[in-house]
Amino acid sequence: MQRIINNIKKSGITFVEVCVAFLILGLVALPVFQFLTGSVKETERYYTETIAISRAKFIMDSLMFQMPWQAIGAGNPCSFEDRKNNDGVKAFLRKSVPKMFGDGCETVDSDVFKADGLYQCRKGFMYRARVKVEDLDEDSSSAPIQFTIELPGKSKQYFKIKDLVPKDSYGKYNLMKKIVVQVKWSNSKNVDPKDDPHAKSIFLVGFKSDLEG
Amino acid sequence: MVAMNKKSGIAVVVVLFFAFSIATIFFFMAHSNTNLAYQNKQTIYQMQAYYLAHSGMQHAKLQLRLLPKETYEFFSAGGSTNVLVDVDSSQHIPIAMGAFKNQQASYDLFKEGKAPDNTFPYGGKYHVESIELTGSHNRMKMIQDGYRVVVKAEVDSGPTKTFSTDLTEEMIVSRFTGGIN
Repeated sequence: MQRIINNIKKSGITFVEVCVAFLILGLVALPVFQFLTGSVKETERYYTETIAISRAKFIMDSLMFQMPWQAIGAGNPCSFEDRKNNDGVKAFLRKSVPKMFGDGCETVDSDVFKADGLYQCRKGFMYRARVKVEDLDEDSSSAPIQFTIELPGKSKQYFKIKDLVPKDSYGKYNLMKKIVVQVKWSNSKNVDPKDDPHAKSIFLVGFKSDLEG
Repeated sequence: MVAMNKKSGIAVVVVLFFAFSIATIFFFMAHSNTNLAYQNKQTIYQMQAYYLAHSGMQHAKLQLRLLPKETYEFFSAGGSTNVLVDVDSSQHIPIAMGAFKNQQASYDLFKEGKAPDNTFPYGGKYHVESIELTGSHNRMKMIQDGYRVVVKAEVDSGPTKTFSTDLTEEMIVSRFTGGIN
């Protein structure tokens, strides 16, 4: 009987054993929590990147396929303005441009917008979007874009832009615009990417041809 | 005493099983995040190539609009090569993006002087791979020609960061007005 009691006493947990168990648990739990915290941060980083991608796509889609050619003015940031006094285009600009760029794209003229704005997502991350447009017109380069065709048995024919179209509403012989979209964001909440030296960026480039004239 | 030793052996198995389970969960979590990063990067390159392909298609449509009669004459004269061979970004200086260069990594529209004209944030190119005349409609007042155009685009954002895509469109071009449907 005494031997059994001694055995039970020996199989009990001492204070030292509990301390060692907690120490082991702590050593295991520390990297686990570090991993979990890191993982949450990583997931947030991918979330912000995904939002930036979809915003850049929204802007580029709108500019390449919806925005009227004549409404896009060159510059960094570029401007949006209906130059043919069309009420439908004006209404489109008033509605679509603030949706694309967020706050700050308005100008003193309610019908003119600039392609630069700040947007904050529901989680509190801030994104800046800006678009630069270059007119690739007849006079912008020493070797401007030209069109060629070579009929069988004949020599190659060259057509300059000014041989094919009149000047546009900006006074240029132009058939193509270079569009560069940049979305810049901070991975810290409520921080303007302009003030974050670690801000991330994505870019999209497109060439919009004048298919309306 | 023997029974007690057997029970203490089970503890090691339980601990090992627990450790293996935790390791498996963490492995899949890490793998899932890595996948997400890879997918985001691929989405960006894919989108960049997609807009270059559409730029090429718009360029092709522009030439068809401007020279619809000449394009038809090419095919009616028995032309079998690519009549839109000139619709190639690498052949026009203002749209020649070229290959990726290290200085493109600092391209920034928000910083003064970091996005000069005639430069690009990444490399790439597009060209018309093929064009074929699919048919002509001469019986109506509007004489129209059908074309199938294939454009290829390639993006170069650095070593192992390339992506290519192609785009095929069929269109009907009015031979004398250049209108496109």
